[in-house]
Amino acid sequence: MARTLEEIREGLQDEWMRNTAVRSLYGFAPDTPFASFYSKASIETLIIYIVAYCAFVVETLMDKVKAEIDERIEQELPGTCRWYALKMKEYHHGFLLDEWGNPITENHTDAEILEAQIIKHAVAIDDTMTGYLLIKIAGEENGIKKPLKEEENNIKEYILRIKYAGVKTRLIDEEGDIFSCGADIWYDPLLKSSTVEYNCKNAIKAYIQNLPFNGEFTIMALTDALQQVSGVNIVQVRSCSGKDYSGVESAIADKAVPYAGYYQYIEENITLNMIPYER
Amino acid sequence: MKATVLPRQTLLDIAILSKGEASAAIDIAIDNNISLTDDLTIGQEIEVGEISKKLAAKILSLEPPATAIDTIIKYQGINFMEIEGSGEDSFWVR
Repeated sequence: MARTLEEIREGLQDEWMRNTAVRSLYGFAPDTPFASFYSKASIETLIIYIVAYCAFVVETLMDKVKAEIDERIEQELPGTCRWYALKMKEYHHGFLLDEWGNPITENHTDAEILEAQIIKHAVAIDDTMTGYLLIKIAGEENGIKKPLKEEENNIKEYILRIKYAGVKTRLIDEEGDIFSCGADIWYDPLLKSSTVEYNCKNAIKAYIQNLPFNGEFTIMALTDALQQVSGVNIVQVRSCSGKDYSGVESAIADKAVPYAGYYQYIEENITLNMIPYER
Repeated sequence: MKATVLPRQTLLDIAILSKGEASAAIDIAIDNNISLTDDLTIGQEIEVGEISKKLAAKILSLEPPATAIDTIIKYQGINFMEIEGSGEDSFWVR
């Protein structure tokens, strides 16, 4: 775990003050604190700060590298849900596979390889109730998640090739659940109702679209996002629901995970009742 | 929140302006997919997340720091001697 910049700096300063050669050169008494002998703007303080910053950068980067390696090791464990999700993201549309199930990328340019990686979001869930491994996937167009209907047969064949023998899989590649919401918003009457409403809708859109894939939607987090909007005093979410691809609409009491793995934001389905806030 | 780079600002200036501490520069560099030592261009927009309410950030916002070194002092005269090359690549001894 990387030390903080302050910890490193203090360590260096203590070491500096303990050094007998430095002490005899500068002529300070033993156990003199660094700060009482050198000013904050002295060249010694600045040089020690620079050295401490360099050490801090190295330590922080080492931490980040370690975290990346740990995550990679976890994903590389074959057969786990995370491994299946990783393998789905490694799918290259229109590429053949080698005997290990990896796409053969020779004779393809970097641009072609990048373009062939059409699965941008994937998650695998071990559904113990049905005994299936559910694999939810989605592509992306202009930053908006979308199903990969045209490529679905190819992806199903890919899953058959890479999956472990005996594992029953079910691919979920559907349009995002349609999100609906109604809320009362008490706003600062100094501001225009239409402006606050517009900003609130944008906040809802940002929250819905930035949820992690197959992430949990909570009314509490939605309320928090709305509270952040400038001019909003009180938020009361009255109703929330999600409608899956088959048309089944289910009300959300407190939290929910979308069937398709993500929600679609449609502005008409957001009803905000704007009320001027009076003290 | 995005910060716009002013003339002669480095990532450390941006970090201390937005977060109140220079150690935030690493995270800002990673978030923006740039190197810690990259030269920033004037007007470049840097994603810095939420602006800190720390005192250092508040005070510096009144007088934004710009600490990049863009001029090299060229010594000349009788007391100086130039070793190898000329201009910015040269090495001066006194």
